[in-house]
Amino acid sequence: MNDDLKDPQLRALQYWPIDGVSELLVGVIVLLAAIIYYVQESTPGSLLSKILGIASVILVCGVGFGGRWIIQRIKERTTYPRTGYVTYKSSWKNKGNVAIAIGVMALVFAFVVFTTLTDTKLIAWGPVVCGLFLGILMVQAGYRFGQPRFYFLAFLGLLIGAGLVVSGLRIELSLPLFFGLNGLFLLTSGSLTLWKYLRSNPIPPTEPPDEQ
Amino acid sequence: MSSDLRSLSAVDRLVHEPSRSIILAILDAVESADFLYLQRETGLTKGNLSVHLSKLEEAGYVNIEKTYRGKIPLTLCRMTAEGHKAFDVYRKQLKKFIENTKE
Repeated sequence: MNDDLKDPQLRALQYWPIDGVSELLVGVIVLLAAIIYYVQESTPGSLLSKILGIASVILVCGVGFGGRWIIQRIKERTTYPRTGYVTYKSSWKNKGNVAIAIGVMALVFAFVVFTTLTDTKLIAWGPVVCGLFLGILMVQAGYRFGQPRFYFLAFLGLLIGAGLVVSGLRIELSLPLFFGLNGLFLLTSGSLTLWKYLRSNPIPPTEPPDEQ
Repeated sequence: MSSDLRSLSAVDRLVHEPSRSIILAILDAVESADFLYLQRETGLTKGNLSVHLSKLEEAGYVNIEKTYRGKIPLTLCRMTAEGHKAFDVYRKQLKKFIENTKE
């Protein structure tokens, strides 16, 4: 296809992460997951720990089913009045995305099962393994959306994971720290992107729309 | 005239117009896009974009829904199945022509 037609198509797909809102939401979730995990590990068997266990399941399901809906609602207030409204086809229709998601989930599941069943010290490598999985997802996002900042976040995630493994911290501390730091970096990246986007795209003056 | 040239002359003129082909390319990639987004992407004036969208709607390639988000009017454009088909045929014709043409 002619590049003149490919470019607007690519820009339309890259429009989704242009404002950093999706990173902000993912950052909040990762940070919440870190807090939940830390509190659970600090107070094993307590009522709070059990409540947080249920909360984490609700969080995962909520993000899985409603994450995109939440992002759309935020974008309706921030992005769409400035640069236009776009809705996307379900990414689950893309076989490549589905394959990557299933592959990463299968690897995470295999790692958790293996470390649980075999009393191995491999669990200490948890942060770097999580960094690798996060990195794969970030690189995929960077490639798909053409946003280099995702590559940087992937590198940062891997670096944090490796740093925590080298530091020799207990897994009960290193894993929440890994998610906490990554959550903070995602929040920072999302906030900066949103700030830059809002500054460079003021709301156009309202006028009677002649196309209506 | 070669068969490739003949295939190019048979392209859908409604799709072949540059502004309309850009509109269709965008709508082919997403589920829907509003008037403001299409205007920013095509660089057309409101009047021109409106005319192009009307032509595409008349041909049954695009579905236009006029609605409101709060108090703000929103003109949502979606590509129909017929539009996807027409754009796909156009894309293949163009690709074939380019592949068989020396630079």
